[in-house]
Amino acid sequence: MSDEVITKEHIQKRIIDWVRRLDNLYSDISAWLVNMSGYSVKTAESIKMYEELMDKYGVKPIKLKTLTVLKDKKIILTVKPIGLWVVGANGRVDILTSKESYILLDMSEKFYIPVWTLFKHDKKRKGLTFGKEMFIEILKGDM
Amino acid sequence: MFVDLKTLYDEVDRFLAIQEFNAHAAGRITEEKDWARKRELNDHAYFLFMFTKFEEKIREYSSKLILKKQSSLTSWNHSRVWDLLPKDKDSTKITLKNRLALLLDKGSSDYQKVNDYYEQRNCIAHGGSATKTVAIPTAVSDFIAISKKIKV
Repeated sequence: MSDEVITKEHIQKRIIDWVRRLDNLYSDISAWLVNMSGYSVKTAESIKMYEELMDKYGVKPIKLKTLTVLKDKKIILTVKPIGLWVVGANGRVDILTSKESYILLDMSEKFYIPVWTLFKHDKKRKGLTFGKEMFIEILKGDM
Repeated sequence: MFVDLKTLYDEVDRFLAIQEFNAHAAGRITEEKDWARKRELNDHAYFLFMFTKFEEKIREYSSKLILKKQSSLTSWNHSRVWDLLPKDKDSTKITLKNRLALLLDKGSSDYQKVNDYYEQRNCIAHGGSATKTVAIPTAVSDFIAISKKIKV
């Protein structure tokens, strides 16, 4: 937040970049599940994005996609974008299941390749690098 | 103390998140949004509480530093600026940002990060309909790390 030159155009560029990163994250997750029997994925535009800077600079709200994972047609996990402008991170997404929830932060610099980092509800201060193996463990309830 | 607050936060957030998920899985959209809003408010509440504790440390350490300098510097050339500053940690004659500037280099990323948290705190306190996102895990980590750096 601090080193940005804030204009309406800059905010719009950040939002476009955020949407692209979310799309790529969802594509990755979908690809990870392709060969896993019984699992399916669906996305839906169901979350309104309207953050403080959008309000301040007159940028209209938009809808963001969430991703849902089903096993044998039963919903077992959902991925939801929470916010783009987070102190110390380049966006936050949450992963929710029936037993646990996780915070996924992109720790990259603005407009750089994402560095998705997972934070659990535990005492560890350092997050874990998010990837396929970790996601499968979460799906199976092993994390 | 930050760790204890984080443990409490985790317990509450986990509970709220599970309710949100269950509502989502059952297709109860309004209920799902309600739980999501409760999670957001929970994030804000714990963030404000933790920032207040962090602010106390800034006040405490900056006051210690001022007192230390006022009592140790004997040459007027060096002490004159410090003598103008209030000793009392609750004094409003010096802003939080200026207290912070006594403890951290204003050009440093730590100073800027605390500044960003301070602005976030003000946004949350002022309310409004726009989303204000915090990430408690990284906030806790930052408050702990920076508290160690600024300790006098």
